[in-house]
Amino acid sequence: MHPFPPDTSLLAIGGLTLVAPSLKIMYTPTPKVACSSIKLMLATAQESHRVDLIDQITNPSVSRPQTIHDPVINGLTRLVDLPQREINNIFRSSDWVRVAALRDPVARSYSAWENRIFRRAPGDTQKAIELARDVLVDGRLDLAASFALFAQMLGEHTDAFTIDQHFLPQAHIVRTDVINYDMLIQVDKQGDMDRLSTLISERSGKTITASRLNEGMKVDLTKICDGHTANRLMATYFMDYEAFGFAPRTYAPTVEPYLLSQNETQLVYQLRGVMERLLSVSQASTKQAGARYGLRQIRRAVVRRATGGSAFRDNRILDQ
Amino acid sequence: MSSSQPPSATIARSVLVVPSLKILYSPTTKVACTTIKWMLAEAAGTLNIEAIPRLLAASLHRSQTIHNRHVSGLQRLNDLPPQHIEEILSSPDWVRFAALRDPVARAYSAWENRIFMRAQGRVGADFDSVPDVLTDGCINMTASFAAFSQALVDHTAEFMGDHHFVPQSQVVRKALINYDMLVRIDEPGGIDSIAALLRERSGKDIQPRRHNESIGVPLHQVCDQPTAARLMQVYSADYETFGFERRQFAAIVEPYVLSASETQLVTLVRQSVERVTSVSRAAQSKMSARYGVRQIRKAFFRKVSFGRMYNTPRGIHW
Repeated sequence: MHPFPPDTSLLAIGGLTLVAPSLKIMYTPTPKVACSSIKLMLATAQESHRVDLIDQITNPSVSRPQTIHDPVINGLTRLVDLPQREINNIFRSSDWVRVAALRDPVARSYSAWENRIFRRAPGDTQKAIELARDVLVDGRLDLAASFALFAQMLGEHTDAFTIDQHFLPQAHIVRTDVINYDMLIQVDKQGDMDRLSTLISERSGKTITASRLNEGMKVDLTKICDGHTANRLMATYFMDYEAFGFAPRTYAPTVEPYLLSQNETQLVYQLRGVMERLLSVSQASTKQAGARYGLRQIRRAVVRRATGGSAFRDNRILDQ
Repeated sequence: MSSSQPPSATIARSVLVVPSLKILYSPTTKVACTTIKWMLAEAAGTLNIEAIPRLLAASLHRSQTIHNRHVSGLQRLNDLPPQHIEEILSSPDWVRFAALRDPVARAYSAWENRIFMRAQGRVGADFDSVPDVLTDGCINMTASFAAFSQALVDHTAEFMGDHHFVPQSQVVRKALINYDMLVRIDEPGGIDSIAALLRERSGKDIQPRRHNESIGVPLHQVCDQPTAARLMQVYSADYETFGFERRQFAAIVEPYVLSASETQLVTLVRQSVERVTSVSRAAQSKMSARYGVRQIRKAFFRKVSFGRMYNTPRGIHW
């Protein structure tokens, strides 16, 4: 069975792809495969990283370093926004380096689960969260059992998860069947990130080093993933193993329950509460656009002035 | 109080009233005010949860949105006419109540929320005076809380800019308001007595709900006697005014050090709190006549260019 999807349209093969024209580097970012670090390296090398604008954007990035994914902040160009002739040149020219990064599929799916489902980072995951619910033991979160349930649900209801890019197989994003990549690094292989930072350093004339940005809970995967769970994930992501030849890792047949402490459980709930608010405020802010909104703001300002500041003085709510 | 001043001039702006139930409540931060406001709004029938998705405030949890009056619908005493205020403060038909809490426990709660978890407040983003104390890279809660208590003694005025650190005696002003109920929420039945009052006055089944906003670390495990003594010194007015018993703490406590993963989770929470604060500020800055004019201009050019101009998130909003 062919490991890649049949769709070879530009959007399907390069919808996420970014280019750094001054470096002549094309990069296809795959979520949960060091894409924050790589985007930061490229934006830094290209001098397009707009740190000064971070406090002006209202997208629901979960932390300051994660704002690197906003095109306004990274300043990188989307491949699909370029003219077709330029795209063809980027695909074929020997002056350009075409780069993508890969990661062991089980480790990547753990990272995606921890980020999107367990910690509730904003994404298209509403249905997935309902399916892959928490497993609690005496009021404490059991990470191993929760992850096992996720693996089961991912296998049984794959579409509910893959609507979010973090759960898409890497073969759906890194289309080596269509694009001739010059450099495919494996981020969990010693030295591969350094190969990429060396390339970027060479092309930019700057010293660029990789830094970890999207750090999770730093849980040892072998302590929460048993052989059964790993097999389920390997089955779901079989196309990645076929396309990129990942060596299947072996996991213990059983693992001990990995119970979070009361403090950890409470902190996870706090984190989720903040995530919910972050998404809510961000979504409210998307409504701050358009002529009608503009008119309302003018009216508001006029009334506020006319009443000596007693009306419309609360800026913390839209359309009061 | 000057005799020429109306009472409302010196009463805290935060004092709330429910005219339909004839109840006045003086909220004190970190004294179950979230729980009490939810109960009051439910009893008054003013709760408006539809407003929550329109809120731009940097609340850290959905339950915290009750502090916005568009959500609670509760009225401020100071917004009423002076004559009405006089009546509320003196009428036997009204019940005037406030909640109180052991000052050391309240100071811990304020520290955990404002300093430790970085909730937005007026202490500001400069936490240099109260840094984390680390032990082998992990947060030592005991030492961090002790450092806070020392900073509170050394820089009291700076902390008092945030109402979470203001003594309860400056909020619950017995000299200005003749309270009918002063409820100790840390005593058995305290919060239930408020719920009972609200049930009686509203005829609704009002029950207190815990909103679980803290990590849940027991105070006696992080607070030793020297730390408690410093806090008792700062909040001495509360002990004098309300007669709180001075709780005994162990002379020395074992350092309460968070695990590596707990410390990492605290870091993740702080990062997200920083982000929601940033997004909230950015969103609130988009509420002005100038921004409105820009939006109208952009909408016009977008229309005449058939959607080619100002069609990116950056172009639309900036």
